[in-house]
Amino acid sequence: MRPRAIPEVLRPLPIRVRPRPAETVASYVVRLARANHLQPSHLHAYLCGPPDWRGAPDLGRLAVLCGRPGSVLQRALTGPTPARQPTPEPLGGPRPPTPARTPKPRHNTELAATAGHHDQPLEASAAPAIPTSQPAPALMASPTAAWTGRMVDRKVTSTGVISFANTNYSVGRAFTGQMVQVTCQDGTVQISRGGEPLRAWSRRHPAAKEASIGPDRSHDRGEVALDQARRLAPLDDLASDPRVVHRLVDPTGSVSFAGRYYLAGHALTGQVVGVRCAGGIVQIIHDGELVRAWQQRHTPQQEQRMHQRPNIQQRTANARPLTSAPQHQPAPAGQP
Amino acid sequence: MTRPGWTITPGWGWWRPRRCGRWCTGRRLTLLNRHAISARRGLIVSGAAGTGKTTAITQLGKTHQLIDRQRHPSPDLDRIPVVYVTVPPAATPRMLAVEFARFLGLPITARANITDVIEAVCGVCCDTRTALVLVDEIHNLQLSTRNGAEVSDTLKYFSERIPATFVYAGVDVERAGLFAGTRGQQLAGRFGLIGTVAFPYASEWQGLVATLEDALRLYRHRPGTLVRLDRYLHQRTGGMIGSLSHLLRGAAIEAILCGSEQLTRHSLDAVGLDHAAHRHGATGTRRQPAHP
Repeated sequence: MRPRAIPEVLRPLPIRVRPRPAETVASYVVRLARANHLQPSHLHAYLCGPPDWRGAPDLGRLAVLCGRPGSVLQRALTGPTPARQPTPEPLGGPRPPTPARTPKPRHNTELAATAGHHDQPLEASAAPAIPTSQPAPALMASPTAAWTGRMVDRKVTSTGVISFANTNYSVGRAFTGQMVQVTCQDGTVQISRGGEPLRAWSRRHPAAKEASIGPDRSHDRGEVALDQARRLAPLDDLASDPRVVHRLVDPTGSVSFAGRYYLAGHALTGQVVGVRCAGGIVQIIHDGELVRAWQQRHTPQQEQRMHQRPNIQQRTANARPLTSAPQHQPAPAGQP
Repeated sequence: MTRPGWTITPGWGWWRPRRCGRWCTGRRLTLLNRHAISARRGLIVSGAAGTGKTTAITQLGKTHQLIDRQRHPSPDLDRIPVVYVTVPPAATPRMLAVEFARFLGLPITARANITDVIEAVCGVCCDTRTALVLVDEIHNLQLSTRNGAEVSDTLKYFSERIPATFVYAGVDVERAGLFAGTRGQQLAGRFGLIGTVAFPYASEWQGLVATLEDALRLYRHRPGTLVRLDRYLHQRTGGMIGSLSHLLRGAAIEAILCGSEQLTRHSLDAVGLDHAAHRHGATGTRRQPAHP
């Protein structure tokens, strides 16, 4: 039964809730309803407005009820766009599956207008290869393929920006905490993640600063750039490589490998990843793709013992899904 | 129970007994009920029309809100210390609950039942630290009818759920049957009754006239003119604060419109008053309180 339209002036709710960064609209509506002791379905219908009282919440009504400007909500919230704007599909075909617990990034012009810190994203006439802040089209060459030796990894800060050559470039709060790849070519700073172009900005840093950036520079000590890890240890023979072991990512986002913990990322928590050590680089592979690479911190003896006794380094909680077929082998003589 | 001599005086010292300098009743009740678990005491303001019941309870709410804001000055705190609702005519429990929700700003759809509305109202009132609930026009409540009894039960339920002091105001509620029957006895056992009467011609009346004159913003008005006309004003209004306010405001607006910018005896004569005051002026008798 549809609620009847009540011709009344919208008023702010008595208890106002602050939106969290990269929170979905649905989550924010539920928190807002719970704080005001309302049923979330009722508040959602009220936010949708007449005549249907269903669908996506209206941004204007949500802004009035929560007592915050609509621009603030657009900048903070993700998920289905509050302004009833359909999320455009990337022109390059369907997007690869997003890892678990990864907020779905927004791709609309309003986000670009509000998330930019300094300048607006490039217009189509300024950068034909990457028209706007919309998802870069498929006609743009893959950043990995067009790598010119200046691609670096950067971790997106809590404000949704990355630092490149002492200059901040916005990526979007939806990518907070994730690793992105940055390259600068022909006066355009291109930001991509996992081979998928995200944003493009005109260069604001001086060229002299760019020359000092090494291709393997990384924020975290011991982390290796993905393209460098791919070059040093190609992922061609993953299926037949006996060095690949499977690990369950623990709640801290790490995997145990040869007595050491290597960070795979919070987005992969609870998922099984493949781990191997090749050429002094520990590669973490998920769905056939290299997601993180670290310099080897374990000793060759530890790795040898691990391969002789698989799962011995697994914690009990993590080992449960992998021990359905126990493969414990007797320890060789002379081994503890 | 009517207490002769209890009058309504504007300003901070409202509701103070003339013959007793103790603390005002409303503030004392709010402090008394602050940590009460159940059986909170309330207040009923009863009196004839135009004696300032609504003015008195809204002044109480304003005073309490100012005190609460002084104690909790942070603007980030979601506090609604005072709730003011009016009992609609032919009220049902759902209508009363929706009145509470409308004051609080809760969006209520047509499909929301009374349980949802009451839960939302009580939850928000508890979270926002509501300490004073003012219910006006309580004489619309007829305990002899089924809906009236259910509304009374709803108010009782609100008073149990919300840790606040409830203040009712209405016209001659004790004669309207509010204290009759089982529910009426329960109300009588928890609520004190304060009767509002007209102002006698005394120093309080002169103080009231002086206060209202100070609030005037007329360019050519001579201060002290209305104070000298206090006997005339008392004779015309019968000591009713509502009639006095209507008379002075009407004359002030007329003075602004015609450009005279001052109040005189002649301009006051030109303003018509309510029927009760007009009848009082014709007979020349002082309006008697409903329950001396």
